[in-house]
Amino acid sequence: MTAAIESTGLGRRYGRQWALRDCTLRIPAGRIAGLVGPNGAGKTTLLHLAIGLLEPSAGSIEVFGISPRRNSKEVLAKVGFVAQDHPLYRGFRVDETLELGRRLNTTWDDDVARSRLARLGIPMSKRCGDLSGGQRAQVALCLALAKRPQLLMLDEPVSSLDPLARREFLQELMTAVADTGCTVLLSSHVLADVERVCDHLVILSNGSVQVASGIEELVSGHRLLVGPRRTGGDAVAGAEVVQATHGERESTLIVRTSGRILDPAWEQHEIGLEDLVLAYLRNTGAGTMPEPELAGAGEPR
Amino acid sequence: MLWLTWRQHRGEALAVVAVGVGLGAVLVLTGLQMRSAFDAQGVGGCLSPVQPANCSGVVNGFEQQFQLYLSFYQWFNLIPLVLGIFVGAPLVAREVERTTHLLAWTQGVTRTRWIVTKLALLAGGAAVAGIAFTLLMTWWRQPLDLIAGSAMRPDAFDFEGLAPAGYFVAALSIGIAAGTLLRRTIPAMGVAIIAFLALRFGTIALLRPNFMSALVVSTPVDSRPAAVGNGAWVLDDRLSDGAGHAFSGRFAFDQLCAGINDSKGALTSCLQHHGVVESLTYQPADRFWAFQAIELGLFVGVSVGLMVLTVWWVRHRIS
Repeated sequence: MTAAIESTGLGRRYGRQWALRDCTLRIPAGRIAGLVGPNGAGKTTLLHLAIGLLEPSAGSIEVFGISPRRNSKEVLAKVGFVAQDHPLYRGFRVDETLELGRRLNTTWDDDVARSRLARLGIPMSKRCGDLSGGQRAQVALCLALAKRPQLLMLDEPVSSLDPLARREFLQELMTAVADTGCTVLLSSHVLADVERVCDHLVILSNGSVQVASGIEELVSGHRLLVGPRRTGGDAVAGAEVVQATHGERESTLIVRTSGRILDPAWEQHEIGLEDLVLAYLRNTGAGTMPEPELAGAGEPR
Repeated sequence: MLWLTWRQHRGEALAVVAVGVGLGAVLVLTGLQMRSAFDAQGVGGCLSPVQPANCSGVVNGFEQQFQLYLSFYQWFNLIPLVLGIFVGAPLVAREVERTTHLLAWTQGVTRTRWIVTKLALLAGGAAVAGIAFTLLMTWWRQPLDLIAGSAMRPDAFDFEGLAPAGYFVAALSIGIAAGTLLRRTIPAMGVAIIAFLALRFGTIALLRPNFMSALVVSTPVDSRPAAVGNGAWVLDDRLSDGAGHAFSGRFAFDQLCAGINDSKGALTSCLQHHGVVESLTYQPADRFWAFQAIELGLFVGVSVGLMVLTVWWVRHRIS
């Protein structure tokens, strides 16, 4: 089965600055993947590379096995994209915005788009510039969904929305994804949203992939260890340390492991996704996840 | 793409038509006025080699009467620039500034088709506007061209024939390319103004005089040969001695004919008496269409170059 997105050694440079570097990544089809990382980590760059807005400076990226730069028409036909801040032509009315989508796309489901907006109570005759932020986001999502994409990519779709609009947007997104079964890649720095919506996680930091994995495998593959304070190294047999914190009497480790830790000195706990992600973000060098073993785990090839 | 281009630019298109109609009305009214005065004062008859009686001062009187128009219409040289600034510069720059290019370029249409369609339609529109402007100006200037003998001199050349359509397209292309490279509308407008004026005035001052090698004719002072008198574009007019050495500055007047009062006949005969010769460098009037074709080619060439650059830039340098 082809991956929705597959990149090898992908890099993008602006001048001498690498925004994304040596990114090898595989997002299986059917996943709802969250792309997290601090500002400037390369999230937008990765999404723009995936839809062909940017040309790679190094390596390659393929969407359903097709290069988005060389065969941009084919990729554009399969991918729906909602850019950051949901840009729309402010002078266009909502129905003109749908007309734009209908005229510029080969596949277009006008009925779905209209009924979706009607259900959300967004008036067709209003100019996009006069809509609220939440409504604009919904129109942008609607535009991306009506082309019936196999892959939907969203760049910080909810970061500019208030909590209510955020909830409504994600609900709308989840309903649509459940209906169509399309693959989703959404970037966010709100971990709670990612945890609620996604089943796959990619952590980017400093322009490279730190983690790419199914969320279940990720959580079950990590342990929080608490034990007596260690003075020597942080090594634990059969595990890789992601983060180590030493208190006065205790040491707390977050480790990645495939089995159980045998050393009886450690008290073992499950770890929540948010703590785990924060541990990785805090320790950018500490644990780079091997790839693509974990990325493809549980996925028939 | 046709629909999108029309939807995004219909306001501009309507504004161009509205301004065009207004300008056209003014030109038609003033043009009719000039024509009726031209006929009523018998200016046409006074231009023929065999002049009827009572011609003294008729041509001058006509030009005096319409002095206001003659000094004003030169400003129409700036009309193409309006297109370059308000249609060209924002074309790509405003999309990037508002990030709507991310919307436009992620629909099903490739960005190459997006930019090529826009360029083709807008350049076509600019060319049509330029042709309409040229036809109107040629009609309007007809009495003036009869007086001048041709439309070879820049004050006529720049409004007639083929070249003005090229100015319109070039102004638009310059605006689009500046907006694409700079990605910001206001700076692009500034650059477009400077670049267009530099191209236009640079062409008049440096290139057009040399489109074909200029002719030189030497005659006794103040007896213009027919070829020059018949509407040629005189590039240079200098006095030299009988051996062909040019006088510098006012030498001929100050040294040879010092103290001769300014009444024309006396000064002329003094200069002729000393064997002073007038050398005229000129482009003859019958090169009008050749020069128009060359000038059009030049501006179309610049436009095509800038459009190719724009397409390349959109494909590779903007995200």
